[in-house]
Amino acid sequence: MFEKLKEKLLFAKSGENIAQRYIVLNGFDGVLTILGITVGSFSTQVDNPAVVISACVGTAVGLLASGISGAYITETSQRLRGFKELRAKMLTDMKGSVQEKNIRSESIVISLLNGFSSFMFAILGTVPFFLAALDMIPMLNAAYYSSMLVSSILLAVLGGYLGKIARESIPYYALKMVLVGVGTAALMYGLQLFIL
Amino acid sequence: MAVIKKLILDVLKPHDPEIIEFTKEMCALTSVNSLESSVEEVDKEVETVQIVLFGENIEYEEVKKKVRELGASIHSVDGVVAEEKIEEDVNK
Repeated sequence: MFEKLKEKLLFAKSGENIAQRYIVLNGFDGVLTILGITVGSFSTQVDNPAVVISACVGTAVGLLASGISGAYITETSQRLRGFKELRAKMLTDMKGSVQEKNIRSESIVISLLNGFSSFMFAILGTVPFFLAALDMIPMLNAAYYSSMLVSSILLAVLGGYLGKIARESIPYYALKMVLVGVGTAALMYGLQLFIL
Repeated sequence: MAVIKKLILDVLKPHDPEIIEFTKEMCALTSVNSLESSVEEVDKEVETVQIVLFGENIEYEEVKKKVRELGASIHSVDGVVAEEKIEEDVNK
């Protein structure tokens, strides 16, 4: 059953890879969110790693919860609608059929992917602050620069992956994603200067 | 008692599972030895397939249950081949 589900999610007939789309989309969300917190904390020179860690982890948990619940509800309702349309065509109740069972199982897998991809990417951007909390690197400003570097690398990886999917230039896509990150950081930094 | 050796069914099924997977699943039934399936008509979300099942003693109820489990439905039974089962005399 797991193999069939994997095949369905990863190698959908339409060429639309559901799992891939969710991982990239939410990974992007996770990285940019943490980048925003990092730049915000950096501009106010927060020197306590625990403060940044709790903000980042709290946000990551929020992303995890919203990712799982949001995707589950969305996917279930969408699949249920498709199932009802199919049922109308089939002129049977299709009770106990694989299609009916798949509504739940596929929605669960997708919602977990959705939630955990943003959570994982967000936590990866927080790792330098954990190192600062363990006194392995200085908080000012090594942890901040490292976190921004990690975020940029993650964005480049996600961009490169998208470039590979599109069969386009991997460096070009990677650069595009990194520029989005730079734009976000600049916007956040500018807003902080304006607010403070 | 007669047993069913061949069964020809007209089945309406969704596109998913595909005909290959559908055929494999049907063929996995214990009372079915081999199976032939061919697409007769394709609609937007459903398709009509003709399946020909071969076996030594095909259990129609088992076939019906599996077809239903795969989200399909039997439109009609288009052909049956049955054979008288000769009971072996154990006292012989």
